[in-house]
Amino acid sequence: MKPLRVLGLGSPFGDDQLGWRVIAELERSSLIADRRDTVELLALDRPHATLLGHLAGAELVILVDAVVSDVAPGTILEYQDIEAIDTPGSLSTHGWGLAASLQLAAVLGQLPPRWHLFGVVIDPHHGGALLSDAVFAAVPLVASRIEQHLLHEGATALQHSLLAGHGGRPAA
Amino acid sequence: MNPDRHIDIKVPFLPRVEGEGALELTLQDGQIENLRLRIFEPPRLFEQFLRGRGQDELLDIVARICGICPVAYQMSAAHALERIFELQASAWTRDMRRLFYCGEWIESHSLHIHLLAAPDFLGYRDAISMAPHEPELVQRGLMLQMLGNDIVRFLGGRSVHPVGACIGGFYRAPDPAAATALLQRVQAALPEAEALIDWCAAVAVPQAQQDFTSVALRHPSEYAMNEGRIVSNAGLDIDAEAFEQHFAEHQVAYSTALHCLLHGQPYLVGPLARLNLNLDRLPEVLRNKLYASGRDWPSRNLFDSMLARAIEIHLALRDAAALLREYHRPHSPRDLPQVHAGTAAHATEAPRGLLWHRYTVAEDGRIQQARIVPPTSQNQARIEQDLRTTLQQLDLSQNDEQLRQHAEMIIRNYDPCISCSTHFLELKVKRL
Repeated sequence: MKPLRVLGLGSPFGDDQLGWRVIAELERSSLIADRRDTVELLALDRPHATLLGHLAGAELVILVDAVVSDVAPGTILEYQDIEAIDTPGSLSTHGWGLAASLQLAAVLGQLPPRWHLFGVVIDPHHGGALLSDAVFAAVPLVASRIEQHLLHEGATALQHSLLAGHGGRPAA
Repeated sequence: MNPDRHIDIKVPFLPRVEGEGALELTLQDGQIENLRLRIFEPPRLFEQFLRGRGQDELLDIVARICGICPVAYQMSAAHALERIFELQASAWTRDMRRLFYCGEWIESHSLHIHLLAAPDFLGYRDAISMAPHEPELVQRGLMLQMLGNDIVRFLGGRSVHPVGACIGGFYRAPDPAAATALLQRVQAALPEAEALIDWCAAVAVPQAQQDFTSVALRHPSEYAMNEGRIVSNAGLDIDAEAFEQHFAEHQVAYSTALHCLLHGQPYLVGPLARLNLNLDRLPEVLRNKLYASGRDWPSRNLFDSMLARAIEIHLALRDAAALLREYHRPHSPRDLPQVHAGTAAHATEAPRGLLWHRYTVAEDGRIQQARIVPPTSQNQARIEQDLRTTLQQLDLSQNDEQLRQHAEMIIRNYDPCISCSTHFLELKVKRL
C-alpha cells in the first residue's frame, strides 16, 4: 500500500461525478506521474462504509467529493476537521455518505494520521447526465490544489512514514 | 466552455436534493387521513440510457445503477439476455455466479444490520453514536462487509462496478491460489456470522404483527438467488416471463417512483419474504437456529428482517465456502452468445429483494427496450401500508420529531434504495 492516497468519490449522476473527473485529471499530471511509487489514485463509486478500508495504511489521504452547500456551485471548500462536516442520518445503506464514513472512522480510531477533504459545491438543480459548467470549471482547479497539497503535506507525511517504519515518530 | 455540452442529456431528476426520502402525513382527530412516501429511483433513468447500446455493454452499464448491488443488476440482465440468445451457461458459470451473489448479500446485509438496524434497536441515533459503545459490533460488521466486497472482487475485478461478469460467464477465471486464500477468510468468518445470528435473535424488537403477501424466487433444490420461479404465500407460482400478467406498475402523482402491485395489492420482497417462502431450503442448522429464536416462522413482523438478514449472511458464507472449496479453473470461463433478436425477462434475488429485468434486443444485439423493476419500487406500496398501519397504532399526538423517528425505523426495515440521497427523511405533518 502506498503512503499517500487520493480518493475521488462519486456516482454516475450529473455533478456527482466530480470526484472521478478530478482523479482522471490527476492521472494526467506529470507531478503525480513522478510520484506514483508513493501516491495512489482511486476513483470510488458511493463507497459508503467501505471507505474505511481505503483509509487504512495510508499516512495521508486526500478526499475529493461533490458537496451541497449554500455557496455558489463550483466553489471549492476544504476540510480537515471532522466537527466541521455535517453528518445527516440515513434510511438506507445507500444513503451512507462520506461524512458518516469519516465520522465512523474517527470514532473507531481509524482515521489516517493526516487527511484533507476537498469538496466542490454542486448545483443541486443540474439535471444533466454530465457535469454542470461551474463544476466542470472547478475540476482543474481542485486538481491543482491537490497537487500542491501532495507536494507540501505529502513530503511531511512521507517523512513520518519513514520514521514510523524505523520505530520512531517525530513529535506532533 | 464545457465540451461535454454537445451530448448533454436532460433527465428529470435532482441529485443530492433535500427530501429525496420524503413523507407527508395528514392527521385529523387522531387518524391518518393521508400518507404519501416519496423515494427517488435511479434505475428508471437507466432504462433510457440502455436504448441503442450493445448487448456487450449491458452488464457494465447496469452495474452502475447501484453502488451496493451491482451484481444483482448484472445477474438479472445476463440471465435475461441468455434467454434471448438461448445460451445455457456452464455449471462452472452457474457456481461462480452464485458465489458472486453470495459476496453481495454478505456485504449488503452486513452494512444494513450494523450501520442501520442495530442503532435503531439499541436506541442510538446512528451508527456513529453507537460505535464508541459497541466497537466490536461495528468492527464485525465492517469485517463481514469487506469480506463480501472481496468475494465480489474475486470474480468481478473490483467490488464497485465489477467488470468481470459478461453474457455467458466471466471474462477470466481467478487464480486457484486466490480462491484458497479467500476460503480461509470465509471459514474464519463463519463463527462471527453464527454469533451475529444469536445476537440478532436476542435483540428485543417491536412486536408489530401485520398481514402481508410475501413474494420471492423459489428454486426446486436450493435457496434461490439467480434462478427460480416467482412465488407468493398467496398461491402465486409463475415464471419471470409472466411477471407483467400479474404485477402492474403505476405512477403516483407525488413521487418519481412507480408503485408496483400484485393483483392490485401491495406486497413484500426482500430477506423476510425470501425466508418466509424458503424455510425448507435452509440448511437444517440454520432452520434450527430460526426456530430456536422464539419467533414465529413464517414471520408476520417486519422487525424480524434484521434476523432474516443475519441468517442469509450465514447461508451465503456457507455456500461461498463450499464453492471456493471446489473451485477450479474451467476450460473456458465463458460461452459466447449467438446474438439475435428477441425479448425475454428474468428475475434474481438482489439483497433487497426480487429484481426483475426485461429486454428487447435487435438482430445486431442492440438494446431496443429495457424494463427494470427494482425491489424498492416493489416495496413502495408495502412501505406506505406499513407506515399507515404501524403509525396509526402509535400515539399520533407525539411531536413531529418522534413521529419522524418512528417512521424512519419502519422504513429502514426495508432498506430502500435511496442512491445519492444523504439526508434525513423529510417529514411534513399537517394536523387538521
